[in-house]
Amino acid sequence: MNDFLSVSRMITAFPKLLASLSVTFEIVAIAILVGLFLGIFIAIIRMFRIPVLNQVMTVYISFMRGTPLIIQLYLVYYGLPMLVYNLFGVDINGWNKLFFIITAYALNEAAFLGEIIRGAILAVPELQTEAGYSTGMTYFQTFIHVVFPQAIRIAIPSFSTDLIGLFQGTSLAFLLGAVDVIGKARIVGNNSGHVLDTYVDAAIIFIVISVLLEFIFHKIQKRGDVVYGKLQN
Amino acid sequence: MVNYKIDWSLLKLCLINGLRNLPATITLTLMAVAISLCIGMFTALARYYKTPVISQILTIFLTVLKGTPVMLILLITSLIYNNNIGKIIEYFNLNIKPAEVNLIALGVFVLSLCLLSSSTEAFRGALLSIDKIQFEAGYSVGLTTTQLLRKIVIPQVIPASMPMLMNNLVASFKASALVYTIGIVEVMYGSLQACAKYYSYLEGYIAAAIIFWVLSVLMSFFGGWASNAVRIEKVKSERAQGVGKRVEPCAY
Repeated sequence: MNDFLSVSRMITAFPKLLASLSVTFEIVAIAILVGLFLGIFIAIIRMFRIPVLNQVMTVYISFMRGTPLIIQLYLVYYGLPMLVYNLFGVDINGWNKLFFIITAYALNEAAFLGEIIRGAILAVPELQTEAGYSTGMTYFQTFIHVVFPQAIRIAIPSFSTDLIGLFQGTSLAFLLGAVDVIGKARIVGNNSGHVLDTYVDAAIIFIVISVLLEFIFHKIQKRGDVVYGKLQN
Repeated sequence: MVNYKIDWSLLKLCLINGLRNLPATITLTLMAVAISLCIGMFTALARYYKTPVISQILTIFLTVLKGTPVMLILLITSLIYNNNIGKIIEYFNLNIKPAEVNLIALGVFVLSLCLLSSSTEAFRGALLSIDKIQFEAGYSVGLTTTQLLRKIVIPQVIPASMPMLMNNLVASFKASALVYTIGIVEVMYGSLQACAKYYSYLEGYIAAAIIFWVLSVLMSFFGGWASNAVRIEKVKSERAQGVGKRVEPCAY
């Protein structure tokens, strides 16, 4: 039983896992950037209620919210090559697996971030927009100078939960064969024959980074409150 | 060469096979939610009253739980389980083989662990949203703390935390798709089983997606209805969500 989990093996395996943290970060960073970009479009479509597209996006968001991430990953992995082949006649089946993984996470993030952005902008009182108009600003100026700064403050808590959720969500990428922290944990563990050690290592990495992220966003939020409070006084 | 056509008859087969295993998924979901609610109420009370040692231990424990992805908890738990189940059976002289043990219990254990932190936060937020005056009023008529909790506090806590608990229900349902990786037969496993022999997995995943999608939409409708039905004050449930930390139920 003593041999089942050993601290010395955990310490030797730890640097190897840390090295593959870059793959996890790569997935998170690209997915959040692409997701943010697409999410802004989704938010615009949903806010201005552009016909047809609005309904399509409602269904899309419902799908992304209603199905498990693991199914979305596999749907992209198996479905995207089929879709692209049937539409454009290009065979992308042999492409890097990381491409499919990042696409899946980005599509998922787009739906969630779109809703976060929309919710934050709608949460700014209508009165603020009217006040902006009354001083002679255009719609665009009002949005940039009045609505947007307030919306960001409102969006930060949900954005931080979303980011931490995405970070933890990357724990599924190893199912498609990505060598991220958990994928590496499997490889190192299988080589030494002690998978539990490396899994616990991976868990420690995930816990530390999640707590760190939460702490950073908490600080940002506090700071935003202070600045906003000063403006109000 | 990959087949680039969807086989509709296979999709139908996958759907039927997936739906046949729906009871297992529902068992997993509901049991996990129920267990996490029962334990979550006590952990929330311990954290609310800041019970000396227990509260600190719980804070650390829940942070660790919240920081670990469901997949990792699942992998670690199933490893420990596989390593020890033989010894446990031997110890109790049970007349079964390790392979015959129903794994659903393991799945329920993992899912309820994952839900624990979010249901604790939901209850704690609801507890904090109740005015101190209510407690004082209860004590002034001579109620003991247990009576006070049972008759005044908890009847207000449950409606106030309802929206978050219903969120947990959907999250638990979605997270239950993961347990197929340790060999529990549920919707995912069922739909994949049907198409695995044709090496055409897409149909299986589409079937599983349809089943999960339809049911989560139904569940969120039910959640909205249930939160409305038990609502006492809109303000209170909003305050409950504002006070408690926003915890994504079951981040995976």
